[in-house]
Amino acid sequence: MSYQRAIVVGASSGIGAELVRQLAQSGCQVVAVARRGERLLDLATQFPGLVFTLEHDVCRTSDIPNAFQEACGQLGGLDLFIYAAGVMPTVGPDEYDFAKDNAMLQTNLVGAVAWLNQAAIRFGNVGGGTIVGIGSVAGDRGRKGQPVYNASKAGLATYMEAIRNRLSSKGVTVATIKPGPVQTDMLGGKAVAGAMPVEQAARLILKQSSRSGEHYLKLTHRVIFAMIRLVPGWLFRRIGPA
Amino acid sequence: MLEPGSIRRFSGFGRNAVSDGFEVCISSGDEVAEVYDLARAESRQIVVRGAGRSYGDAATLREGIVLDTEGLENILGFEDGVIHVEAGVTLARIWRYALELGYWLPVVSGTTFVSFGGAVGMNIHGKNAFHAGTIGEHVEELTVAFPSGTRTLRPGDAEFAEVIGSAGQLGVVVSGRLKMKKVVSGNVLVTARSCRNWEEQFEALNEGEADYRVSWVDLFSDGRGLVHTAVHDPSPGSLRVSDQELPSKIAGLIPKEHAWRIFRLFNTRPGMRLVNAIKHLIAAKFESGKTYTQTLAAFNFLLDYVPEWERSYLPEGLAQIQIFVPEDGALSVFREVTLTQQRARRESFLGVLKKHRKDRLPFMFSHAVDGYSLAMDFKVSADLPSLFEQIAEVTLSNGGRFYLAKDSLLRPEHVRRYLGSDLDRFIEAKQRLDPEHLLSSDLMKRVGL
Repeated sequence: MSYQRAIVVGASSGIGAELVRQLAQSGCQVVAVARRGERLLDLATQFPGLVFTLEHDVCRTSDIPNAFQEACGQLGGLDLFIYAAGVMPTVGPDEYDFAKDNAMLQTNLVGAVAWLNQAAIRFGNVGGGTIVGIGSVAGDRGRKGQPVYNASKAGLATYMEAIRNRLSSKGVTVATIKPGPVQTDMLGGKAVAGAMPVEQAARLILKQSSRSGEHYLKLTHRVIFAMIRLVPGWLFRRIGPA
Repeated sequence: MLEPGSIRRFSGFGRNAVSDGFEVCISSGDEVAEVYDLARAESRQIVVRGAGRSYGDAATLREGIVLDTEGLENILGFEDGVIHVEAGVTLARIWRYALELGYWLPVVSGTTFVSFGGAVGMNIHGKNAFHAGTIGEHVEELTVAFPSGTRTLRPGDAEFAEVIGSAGQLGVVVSGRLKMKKVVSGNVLVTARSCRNWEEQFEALNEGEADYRVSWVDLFSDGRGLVHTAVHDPSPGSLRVSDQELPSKIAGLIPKEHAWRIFRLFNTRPGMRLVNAIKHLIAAKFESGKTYTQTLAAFNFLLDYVPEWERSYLPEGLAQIQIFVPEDGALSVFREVTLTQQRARRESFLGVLKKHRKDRLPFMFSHAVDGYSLAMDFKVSADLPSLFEQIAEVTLSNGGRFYLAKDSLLRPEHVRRYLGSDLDRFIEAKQRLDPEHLLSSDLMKRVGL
């Protein structure tokens, strides 16, 4: 899939940064959006004239309509919008810390809705474009270890499904990508078996972005998580992973 | 900020490129000042868009404010053969209003769906360009909303000729008065003559007395085609608008709203070669040498016979260009342009030859010459820019000019060469009338203005 103008929100590290890198390598102009603006400078330096930076905290939702218009103006249009911002702080097994929970909801869901609404309005009106939301396999079930992270990603997936249903008749592609473990800072340095290199994950995300729907990055994930979704609640409580 | 829901995708009539912009519709000339203020507040530029009938990117502006003037839709008056209209009124509405009063438009384009503002902005011409000139010569008054305020201009004012033909780059035409042509009949008497080559085309196009002269050219050949000359019917005849309606079926068979789908089947090089050849054979055998009566609408608005005909060029789109060459070099330039297309195997699917004269007022970006024009319809392809480069070179080398309403391919160096000192005149007028550069378009950006 060849894109010419893209916005990537959550571009300072991990999958978002790698998506910016790969898009720029393909000649696409990208506005890279992140709270930690200084972290974007490397990308902008590496791809002069292709990567533009926008420092923005997705929790400041009232700034988003203006930021979106500015980014589109800078690019001279928009073909692709990717929401890749997400946080997953460590949560203890008996921890119910609303501050942490709220931060996750704000970044993973509320900020996503605020940005994606803008993309949906634009693409719906012009009759074309691609929206990608980076969800997670963690959103498929409620797990003991990350109740709010799971909920935020489940909420994002449901929201994405709804806008996909709204926009598909208008020529807009809406893809929800559910990566499994990817070798990024989000793993907190933990070695996770089967974690995918971030370069591979970004490449697969861009490949899958051309098709509307929910996508896993590996066939094995699709099979395994389809089975996990079928596990009855009473059994999932007993054997479900953290 | 701009209303997010006002974003729209726009293209020119040729649908060969798209551009997203924020649509702002107005229903009164007074609102233009607010749009200028909005552009200042948002640090955006404005493109003025009428009916969107320019073929290329003259009425689009990427991420800009697209000022839609179609809501300026009132006919304000009609007195002594002069019609007073707002900018969004189409030529169709003007002639439908005036014909039963015994008047026709002094200049019409090949489609009737052009807005008055667009017609003035691009300074359109018609099949009578060789004696009637461009539409600007028939405008008696213009009300223009400049960034500095609204003014009413008359032919004696310097800004009058600057605004006409300026492609909406100096101010927004809000309304104007147009001197109509008195007619006693809604018909013309048309004479057809089939031609075998370019020499015969030029000879036939100049034959006899005529109010209108136009020719269809088969660009797969050495300029064979069919010349039509026409005079207004001098005998009093029907002035009823209902008698001007175009047929609802093509060739009495195909509902015209679906005809573009049939055209699409032939929209390939072999297909159009065949269509042109058949048309020539039919014209030579059955039409040539005949004189017949036709309604003004049927004769003038050939492009309106098949609604949405431009869709037959999709998905690539249509790039129409029109080159204007002074009389002395016209025949050899058009022959060279024909051969160039044939060598590239990228022939225009349609060629239209017209005769022109120079403008009598110094209209901006004038395309007019004492000579001839050749309009060509190309299916967009990756190698079209290089073909156009060759066409531009032979045109410019022979003192030729271009027409911004029918362009998708001009580059800054072409414009510099064809406008010469007129380019400095535009830059000076821009600095004086729109110093903040609030008005622009994708076309202007493409040609470096």
